[in-house]
Amino acid sequence: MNFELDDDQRALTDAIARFAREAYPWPTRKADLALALGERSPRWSEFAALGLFGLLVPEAFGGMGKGAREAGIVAEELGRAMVVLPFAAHAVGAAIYLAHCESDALRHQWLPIIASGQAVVVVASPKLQGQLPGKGVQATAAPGGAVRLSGSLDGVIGADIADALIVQADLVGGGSTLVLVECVDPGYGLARFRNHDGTRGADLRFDDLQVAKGRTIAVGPAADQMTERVRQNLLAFICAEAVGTMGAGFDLTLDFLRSRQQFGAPLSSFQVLQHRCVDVLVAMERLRSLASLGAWAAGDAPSASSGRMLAAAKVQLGLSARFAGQTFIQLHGGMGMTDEYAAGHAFRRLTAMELALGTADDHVSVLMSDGAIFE
Amino acid sequence: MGDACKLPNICLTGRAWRVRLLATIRSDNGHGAPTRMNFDSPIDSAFRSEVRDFIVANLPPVTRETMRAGRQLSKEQRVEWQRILNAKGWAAPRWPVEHGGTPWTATERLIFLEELHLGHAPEPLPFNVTMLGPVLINYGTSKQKSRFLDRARNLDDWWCQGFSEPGSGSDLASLKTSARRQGGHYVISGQKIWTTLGHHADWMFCLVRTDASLKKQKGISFLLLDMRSPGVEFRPIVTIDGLHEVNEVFLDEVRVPVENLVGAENEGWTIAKFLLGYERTGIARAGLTKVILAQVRQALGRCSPGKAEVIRRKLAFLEVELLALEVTQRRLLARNAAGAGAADPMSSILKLMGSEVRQRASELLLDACGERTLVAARNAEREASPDDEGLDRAAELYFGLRAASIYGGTSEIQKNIIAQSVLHLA
Repeated sequence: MNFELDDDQRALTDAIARFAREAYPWPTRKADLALALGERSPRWSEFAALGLFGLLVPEAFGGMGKGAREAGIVAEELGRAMVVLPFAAHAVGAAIYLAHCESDALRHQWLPIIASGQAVVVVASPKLQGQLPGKGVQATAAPGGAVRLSGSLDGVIGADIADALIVQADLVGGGSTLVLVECVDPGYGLARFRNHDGTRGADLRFDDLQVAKGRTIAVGPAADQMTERVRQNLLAFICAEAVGTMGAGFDLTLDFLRSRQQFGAPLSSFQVLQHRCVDVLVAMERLRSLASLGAWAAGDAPSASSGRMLAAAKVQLGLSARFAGQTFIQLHGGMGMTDEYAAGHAFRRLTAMELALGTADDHVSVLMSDGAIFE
Repeated sequence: MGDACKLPNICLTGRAWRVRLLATIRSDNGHGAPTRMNFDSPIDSAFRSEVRDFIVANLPPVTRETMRAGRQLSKEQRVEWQRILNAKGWAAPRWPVEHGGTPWTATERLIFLEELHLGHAPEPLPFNVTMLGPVLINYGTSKQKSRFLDRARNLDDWWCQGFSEPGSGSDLASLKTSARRQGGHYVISGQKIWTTLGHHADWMFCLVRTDASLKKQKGISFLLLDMRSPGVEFRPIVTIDGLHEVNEVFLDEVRVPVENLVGAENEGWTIAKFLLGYERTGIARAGLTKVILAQVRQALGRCSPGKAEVIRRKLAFLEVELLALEVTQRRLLARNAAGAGAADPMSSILKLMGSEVRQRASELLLDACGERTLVAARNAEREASPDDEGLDRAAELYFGLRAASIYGGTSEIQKNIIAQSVLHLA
């Protein structure tokens, strides 16, 4: 397994990092956090101009045709800048769904839109959002091969500004279907929310919403397989993103310790604090390793073993993010508790990533029931 | 998107984008059988099979059983195996080929080590192979090389390490054992401690103070000392696992010929640092942790369903930790293969992570085995039965492995190194 970046990947890293620094400096990020619910960040069109939304879209549809490894590179840099746009839902989730969709018409219509960022498309499936039991969307057959959607889905990241969604709904009689819903469709309702970490989304309501036959992406086992592919790719993405955010929080912390004087010496000269920092480094390197493994695993069709690797990576995210995030605050002292200062933002983003797509406990239970990692 | 792309290079298509990912994952057989994962390329995979086959075919069964049950090896068992490896040309993998080493890459050396661990085979004696040998190859006279190297590789001479002293552990450079020049000899007096397997040793390489007037690192020399010399005395140290593996060595006016000085007088600290940084490949000893986790899995059969569930949960966390360690090990290996040859301070992270996860694995085995593993000795001199698989030695292993975060630089020393050399905290 090759964990080293090649020249092109290094160039990608540098370019994204530079862009994130220049286009997404701290004041800009703060302005984004202050946007009203439902208001689209001006940064969306800057990302679009960069072509970044087409990362995973095949070249034939105006994208770059890259894979999970490159997505990981982008994720790490976006994480470092603590970008709160729904990049993953749109450029990873929706892009993968549509790239693997069987309908030529849907691919031709929507993939170029995703690549250009002209519309925001996000994903809504109970398997991708932490759902309370009893929630979910039911699909019933309607004349002409159409389906009607009823029900609700909570916690859909990016749905606050979405133009369209890929929705997974349970079919009456078993199985599920994946359909493309436009937010102007009659019967679509939403309640927007803002999370502690600055990400935003909406709880969705479908009230007998009719979806034409031509907007079906997949049905039955194919739908579940597609969602599993998306889920694994989102897991890989979030693990890499967490590496970046952790790195940003760690750099802040190290700088703080070097510059702050107490007892007549820089805090960085105290061994107990040095050792805490090494513990964070260990946590971060562990996550970096399993994020690399996760990006590799997500690159191919999903399998039981790629699922295990991503579960392992998400468990590590939970452990590392919690320890590192808490340590950033502790080592910053009172400063770390302020909303003004960036360390607390890193902590909250890391906590959000810990909870997204299943916590460490969820994923440990997968590993426990699904055989050993090692012989 | 074409013109919309403002990123240099990333709009390029083709060749390098698809990273060559060489890992082979043998996925499960659909019946819930465990998955074995490794990170080998096809070439590495073939090498692994070659090593594994050799071990299976050539490791004496009694030695395998001794290792598997976690019992102590006799001197003869170690010598026998080292000579089998030497006859194959594998006793000193990292030595230059002209001195009987191998041309193996770091990855191949890692695989070799892991297969030894998984196959319940002893490692080549580290004092001879990863300590004395490289020192002589790099700093020894041609006479020292021809006198000692072949014998060290074949374990004709058993070497031990005389570094630590009762007053000099983490602060090794404060060592006090003195060597004063008297004609053609050094006369040595002092005390060494933690001399692992020194009771089997014919020779000791040691650090001695040849000039007490110099700054502490400056006045140290590296000497080769014949353990049969008059004035050498041993005292066994029984450790908390009930075993005797380490010793104290008392040196009372021991005469060492000047020709047994390695490198220049008072340059011993440089050699010691070289020795300690020489072979960090495999320092995490991940293979040994895998062996322990396999034992935990066996012990699950002895647990009540409720307890088994709790153990399985802890096991899953440990497997994640071990997986992270293995990937980190491979990442650093790749980075160092690509970069310069200087010792990577990040290897301290592998020592830190590796000893921690191994200790935690032994804790879990202790928990899984429960009270029965506390039995330290039986009056019936009962030998381990074949189905014990080392499970009755879980407590012994647990006690003994506390040393893993102490020897070779304590975890705290590793953290100091990382804080200074990697994080630049001061």
